[in-house]
Amino acid sequence: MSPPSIDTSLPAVASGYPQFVERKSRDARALLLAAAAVSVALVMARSLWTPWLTALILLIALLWRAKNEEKGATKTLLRRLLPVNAFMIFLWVSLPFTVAGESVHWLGLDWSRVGLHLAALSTGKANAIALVFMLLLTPLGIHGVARALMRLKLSPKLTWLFLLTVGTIHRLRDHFATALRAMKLRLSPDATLRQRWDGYAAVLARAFVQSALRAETLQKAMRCRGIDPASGALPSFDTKRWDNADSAMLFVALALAIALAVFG
Amino acid sequence: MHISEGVLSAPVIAVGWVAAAGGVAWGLRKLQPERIPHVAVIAAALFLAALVRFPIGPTSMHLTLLGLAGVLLGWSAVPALFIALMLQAILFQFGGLVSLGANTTIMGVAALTGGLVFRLFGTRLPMMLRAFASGFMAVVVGTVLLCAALWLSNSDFRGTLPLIAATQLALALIEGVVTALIVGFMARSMPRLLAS
Repeated sequence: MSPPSIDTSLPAVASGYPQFVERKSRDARALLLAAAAVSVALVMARSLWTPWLTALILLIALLWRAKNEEKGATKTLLRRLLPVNAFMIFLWVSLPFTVAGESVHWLGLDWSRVGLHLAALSTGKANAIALVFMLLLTPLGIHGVARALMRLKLSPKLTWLFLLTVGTIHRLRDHFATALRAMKLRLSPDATLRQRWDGYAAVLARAFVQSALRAETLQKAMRCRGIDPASGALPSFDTKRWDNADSAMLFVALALAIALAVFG
Repeated sequence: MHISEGVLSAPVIAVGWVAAAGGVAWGLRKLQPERIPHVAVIAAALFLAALVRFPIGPTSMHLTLLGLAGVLLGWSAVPALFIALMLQAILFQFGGLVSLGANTTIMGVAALTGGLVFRLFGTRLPMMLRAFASGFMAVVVGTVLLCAALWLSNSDFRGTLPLIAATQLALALIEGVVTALIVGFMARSMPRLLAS
């Protein structure tokens, strides 16, 4: 049994360093609301062509954008679709054989027609919704989402929680990766399963203990700077304000969502 | 344990969001402002712990540590999980933002169950045993809710539910063992973390 490992592909947007200068883009609230409206309409789609056609158009748009971005953007885009489709693979190998009803004989097997339709519909919807969010929210980055939460006037406690979590992830991730690497080096090849599990749990537990200590330091630092999360005062780095282009984009998104809900 | 986008029906998504909003609001209400950094850092650690791949035979699985979240954070686990799931959806496309409400409800209830199981037996059972039960029961309750959400979304999913339950049972056992080992370590090195 090999030692556990951690995904090292944490995107740069989680670096924990706020983008003090907001990139020229639409208002974060407009993008979030537009993505939500189109996604909800896609959830309600009944025919196969609506989510699949939407997914195809969005994929072409994203590939076009990736082509003009830095090297490797296309690969990153396709890699991000893998987790979306992991559960879909499970549906494709289970639903056609577990759903009752009319079946078709193909490749020596009996495939349920309803099961195939359900798997295809779920796959289309999952990919279309994921692509909508990638198109509209990925350029914002994590701090853009935080700005959207602030501007939507959600609970200051929730926004603080979000900002502090994001700010801590990168540092903790480095600690996790180093601790796991150290454990991997220290473990004897003849180590028993119990020793391996003990080592793995110790790495995780130590990370939680150090996190708690770090939280105490963070709390003291916030108090020293006079920051009170309950007061509702939030850091503001943005200069972008809602303008006519934001209203126009949201209007188009809502019209598209209504069209998808009615005709999809 | 994430439910992907496109699988749940609109009514289940709506109920999931209502329940999650209630849970997050109650969790934030009970969260003292001075505890926000603590919950945020633990939420970040939970987010990262869920990225650690644990090998099982030819494949590997990710832990959820929901029982531990309930033990360490209590009601604050619900907003912490909401944030962690939102980040996973944005950064990795695990789950998704439309199904975020349902996923928060499922995992939040599972974490609260884990915390309840740990506290319920007080000092009557050894701490390691309580921690195992907490990690195990959190995944079991989460799996029951996940299957219920799928079944309510479309009854055609019922054939796949035993398969999901079987894979999650293996995860429940591993989660129980790992939670017990982590809590055992914490009890030796920083007991006040468990007392809070």
